[in-house]
Amino acid sequence: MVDSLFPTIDTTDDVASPESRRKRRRISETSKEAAESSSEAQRINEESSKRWRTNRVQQIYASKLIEALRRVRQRSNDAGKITSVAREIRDTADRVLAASARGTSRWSRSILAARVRACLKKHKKAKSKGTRKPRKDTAAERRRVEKLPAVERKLKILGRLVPGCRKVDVPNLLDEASDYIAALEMQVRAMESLAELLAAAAPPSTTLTRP
Amino acid sequence: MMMNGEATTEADLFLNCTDMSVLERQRAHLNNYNHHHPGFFSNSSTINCGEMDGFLASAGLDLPAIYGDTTVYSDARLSASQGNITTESGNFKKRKFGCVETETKVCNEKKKMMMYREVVVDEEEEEKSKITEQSTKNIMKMKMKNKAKKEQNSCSNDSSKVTKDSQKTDYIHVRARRGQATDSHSIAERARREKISERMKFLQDLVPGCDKITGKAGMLDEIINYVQSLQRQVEFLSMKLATVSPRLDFNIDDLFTKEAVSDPMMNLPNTVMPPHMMVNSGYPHDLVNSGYVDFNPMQQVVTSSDPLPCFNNGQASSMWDSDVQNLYSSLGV
Repeated sequence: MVDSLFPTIDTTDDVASPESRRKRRRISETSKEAAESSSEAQRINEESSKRWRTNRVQQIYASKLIEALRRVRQRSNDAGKITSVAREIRDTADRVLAASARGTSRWSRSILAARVRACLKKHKKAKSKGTRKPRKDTAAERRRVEKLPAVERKLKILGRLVPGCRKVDVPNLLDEASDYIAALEMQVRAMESLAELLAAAAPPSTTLTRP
Repeated sequence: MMMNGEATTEADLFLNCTDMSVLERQRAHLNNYNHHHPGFFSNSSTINCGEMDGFLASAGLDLPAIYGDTTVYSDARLSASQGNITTESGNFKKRKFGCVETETKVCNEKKKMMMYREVVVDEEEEEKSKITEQSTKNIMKMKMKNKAKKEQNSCSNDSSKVTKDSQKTDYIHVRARRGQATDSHSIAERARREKISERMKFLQDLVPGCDKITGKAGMLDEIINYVQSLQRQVEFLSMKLATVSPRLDFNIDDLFTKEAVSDPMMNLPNTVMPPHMMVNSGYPHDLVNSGYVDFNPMQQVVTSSDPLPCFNNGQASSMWDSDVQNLYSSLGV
């Protein structure tokens, strides 16, 4: 089943991927100690993007996604509007994606930590920290913000887009962004094929009548 | 000790160094001290002196030959710079006589020599063919990038600052790049900029349609648009899955069986397994490889699955919570 989700991917990557991932971790560790030459950094970046394209990773993601979605269905109990269910599904998919990252990237840790924090808060019934202090929308503040060079403004926007990367410095932010983009691409591919499969499996006439 | 270890490699590379004027001046200076102030060196760190001579000796350099003859090095530029030495040696000596009365100065001298040797080392490691003034730029750059030699970096930073000031007054100076500053700050700045541009190049490959665009601002625009579009796609697909997924409970295993039958070729090891075990077999493989704790609760869930997979709500939610707790602990937060 999971193989059919990614039929076009080359299967030869499968055998090499666990080793390549282990190697990548070792390489990334050694590179931190040694002087980082440009070629090495590029190799790490390439390996990180290839990581999200290996068949093994896609299989794992697809199977975990299916399981998580099944649990979401169970838990939501066919409740309410489709939009809330959709949001739950998206959050679940993001969490599964972050779990597939195995904690090697900052955005994945942030996604999982946010969920954990929410769970703990539910248990402790503490006040939610979701409300951030809104920035004072004074003219002076706006002028100051707009005076920042264009590149810096865009880097800030990018930091907001990638989860957990608001206060990350520029080179690490770019690294996280590239890893995040590769992961998102894989997520889109998986969800597309899953939706296609499910839609093709049975006629969707019954679902349209749901409130 | 670091210096001794590097002596042999530096020695060979030192010979090929292009611009010898500064080094030669330093050596000349040291040799002057050797000749004229033998007592000085003996009072101060003889160890330093000995090491220096050890360096120079191991470098295979004939000290008197350096500032005397031009035949030692075949590089044409050297011969040109020889003239510099002779003209400036007078001032050189003057300054040195005045300043170098403390041990620390000798240390600095030595470290400057070290710096230049390292500079040469790095240069030779990187570009053996380019022996031009340009290469000194790279030397400085590579050197600053080299994290293993941090302490020497710090010392050489000071020395480079000092020497930059002294450029105007005919003191020992760092070889200036053509049209670029030799500040330690600017060199670090340049290294940082290179890191960023290299990552931008990688992002350019990742994001489709970024080849035509030059400049950081435009590329960042494209990257932001692409990330936003990917996130929107995920939202749209999740909505689509929400409409489709009421059938998830019932049909998934049917789908599994269908696919398993029609697609006997699987990439997992031990492929001869019933469908509900198929997912299971994937996990131990990964467990072995990664030791990821999270897989355990999911494994239990899968093994309990039957052709009619109806979990209790309680079981599902408790599984997820335990899953989350496992994640929490595994992340070491």
